[in-house]
Amino acid sequence: MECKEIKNKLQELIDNSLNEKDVTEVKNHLGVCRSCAADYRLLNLVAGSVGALPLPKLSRDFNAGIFKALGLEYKAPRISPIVKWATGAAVSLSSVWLAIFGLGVVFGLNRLDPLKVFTFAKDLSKALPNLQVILVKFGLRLADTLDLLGQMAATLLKGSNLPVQVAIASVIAFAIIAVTSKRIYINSKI
Amino acid sequence: MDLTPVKSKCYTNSMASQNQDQILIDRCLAGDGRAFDELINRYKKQVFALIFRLVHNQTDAEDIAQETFIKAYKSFASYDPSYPFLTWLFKIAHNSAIDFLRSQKPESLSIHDEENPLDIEDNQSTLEEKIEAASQQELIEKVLGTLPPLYREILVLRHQQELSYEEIAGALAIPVGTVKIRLFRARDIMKQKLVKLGYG
Repeated sequence: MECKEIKNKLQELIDNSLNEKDVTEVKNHLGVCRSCAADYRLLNLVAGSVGALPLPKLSRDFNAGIFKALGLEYKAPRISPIVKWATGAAVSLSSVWLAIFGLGVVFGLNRLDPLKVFTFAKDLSKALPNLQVILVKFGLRLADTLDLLGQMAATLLKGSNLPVQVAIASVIAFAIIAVTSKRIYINSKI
Repeated sequence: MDLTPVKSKCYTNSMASQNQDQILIDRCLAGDGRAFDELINRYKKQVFALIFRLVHNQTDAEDIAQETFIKAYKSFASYDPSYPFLTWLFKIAHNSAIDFLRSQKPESLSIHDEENPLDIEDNQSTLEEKIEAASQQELIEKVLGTLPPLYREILVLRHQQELSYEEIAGALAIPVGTVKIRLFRARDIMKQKLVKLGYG
């Protein structure tokens, strides 16, 4: 096939609407012709990029507006009891944890002399490196762990509602703080 | 070089999804508001995406998307379940958006690209600087914005909504041949504009 004919087939290749024989012929040509390959790359870029363009978010009262215009009563969607209980439990646990941690820090610091407070503050700035030391002990690199945590968080957050997302984010944040503080405490004892 | 074409999933063909839509429509016809709410939630993003690319304004797009669902609700009785529900919705959305554009600026519906020159500020000297100044996505968004609405629409239906030629033809009420010509032309114009900007 000549370049002119190939260029006409590129669009169909993008849409997966070419027959097998033509696909092979076009791909072979693209392997040796820079001009057609550049055309194909651009067409593919257009196809891929248009599909990935971001959109503004719809307003929260989008559905309610439709119901209102139709003169129908709009009832906010029901949250399943399981989600409600899970959210409640997660938020409660997080709050208790926050309270204990907050009180612990306040009372702990009050009983320390200024030098120890200074040391504690200094150690706090080492929070992340300390976390990394702990993770390395478990055989995990920080990058791998963050990636793993990110994937887990994304899976958990996908499809859940805002309170659940906040609760999960709080639990993860508290877990990180807890591990880090423990390490700092051990360091300060040493 | 990666020769893998952009994949298409064409979810409107899913029989399970079509059956679920039909169940929801039946419930709507029986006066179940929750079913209508669920239908809106299922498709509002796709409908909004199409309209937004056509009218290029969030508030207008949202109003027209709401109008689309209102019209759909009033016409559920005439919906033919042998066609995918989303394609039917797109048809209503397309007509509503075109009516809006016609009322605002009739000439904007022309598909002659000469009337829509590429007016992207181009004061950087090298391609690297251009890429630094605006990400590829922003650039694509700007170039897409310079296309006539009907070309933007067909690109969105094909590559964002991942409809087949036949489904696009159904949604726009045009022959499959016209769909291909319009789609190929739209991509070709985009390509030429990107070449002008130093890509390729």
